Amino acid sequence: MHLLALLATSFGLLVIQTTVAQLLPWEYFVPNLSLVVVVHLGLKQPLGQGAVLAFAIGYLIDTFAGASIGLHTFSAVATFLVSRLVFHRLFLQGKLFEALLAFSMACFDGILALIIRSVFDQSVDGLLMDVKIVVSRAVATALCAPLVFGLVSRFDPESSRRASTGERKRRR
Amino acid sequence: MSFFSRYREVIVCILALAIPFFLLRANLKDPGEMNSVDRVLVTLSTPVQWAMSAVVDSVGDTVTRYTFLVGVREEKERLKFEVQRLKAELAGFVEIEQEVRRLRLLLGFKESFRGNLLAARVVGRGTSEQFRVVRLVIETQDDTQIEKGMPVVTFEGLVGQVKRVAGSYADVLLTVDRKSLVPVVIQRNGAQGILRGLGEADRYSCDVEYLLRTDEVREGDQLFTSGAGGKFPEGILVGNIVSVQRENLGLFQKVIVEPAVRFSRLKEVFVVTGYEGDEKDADAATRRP
Repeated sequence: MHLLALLATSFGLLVIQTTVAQLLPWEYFVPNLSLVVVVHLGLKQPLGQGAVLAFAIGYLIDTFAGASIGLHTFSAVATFLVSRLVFHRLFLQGKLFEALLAFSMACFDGILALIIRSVFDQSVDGLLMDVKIVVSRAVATALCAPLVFGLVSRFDPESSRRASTGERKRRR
Repeated sequence: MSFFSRYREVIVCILALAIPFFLLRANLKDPGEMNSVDRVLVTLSTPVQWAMSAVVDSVGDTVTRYTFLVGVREEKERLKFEVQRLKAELAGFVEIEQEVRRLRLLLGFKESFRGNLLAARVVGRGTSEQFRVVRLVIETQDDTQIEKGMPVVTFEGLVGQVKRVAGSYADVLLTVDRKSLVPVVIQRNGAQGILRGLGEADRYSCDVEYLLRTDEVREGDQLFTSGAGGKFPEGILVGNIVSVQRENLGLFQKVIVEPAVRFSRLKEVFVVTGYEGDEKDADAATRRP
């Protein structure tokens, strides 16, 4: 159930990202909110479930963005795996860590998408400009990351388990 | 434990990476260069993609429309305020335009008038029907030029005569006051009479006294000052005849006149301080600036 809730949240965040955020005056400073959910999956979800959800979120990003199907799906799954790897190698906690992880993962996701594009599509040009956009979007994503982490951590199996145990204790 | 159960998560990850990779490869290829695997992938992904796009588009459209409406509401409030501001500004411009038109007419009248005129502004109006007066403030430093009985005119015609002077203020007895008497002549046939105000509460009107029954007059005839008695200069428009009543008996006929001047809209007037043929013209000439 919590997986569906996470997917629905990603969908909602994507809607916000593609509609409300587009009204902002700065064109390239739009956060990639659904990517933060993917990073969160890397920290909290089991490998198989997380990969499937990352796939679904990436597919949604592709559909929303109107990009070639598979581009963001691939980069989202890869980002999920890398964030999982980072989390298992480093022990970091707190909002700053969340923001830093979101920034580095957004950079990774963006640059990976650029690489894939340049591999499959030979006509890609203006790569430097694209990198600048990736970095500015990563900064925006990092700034929003603690908020999104706070939102999606409500659907963690652990936190729901903790909440239900607390409820039971209170009833006793 | 079977191989699949043991490596299930790894297999899922590999598939999650491989499927989009091959999908992307198939989608970006030229249709001519596609092999059978690419065709199968594209064929399988197209309906899913179509359904997903439909959902995403409808949700996206709804949210976009809503956010657009939020903007529209703000825009509406801003435009409403702007309309109010422009309306107020326009009202100011209309007022100025009317004033300019009025002043232009007054200037034209002053230039064509053969006599001395002193500009004055209407600052008050009498409310009693017994005393139809307006109070003026005279736009001059030298208030000694104004005397009781001096005619007051505007580009529309005769307003009345000065009744009282106090400093730079003067009260004007309008032609519609019961006490006002003005010698008039009907332009069309030269018939003469005395215009007297009726002092009616609900309208501005006068009648003409001593107009012989034999003088043929009709509605619409224009009346001008005749200059008789030397109090008013000759040839100033006074009003139009609106009704004529001829009794079978009697020497005179009853004629009702509507004044040419719209007293309710009066803002600027001229006091005639001297004119050609005036008995006091010589004196007036000495007073001219």
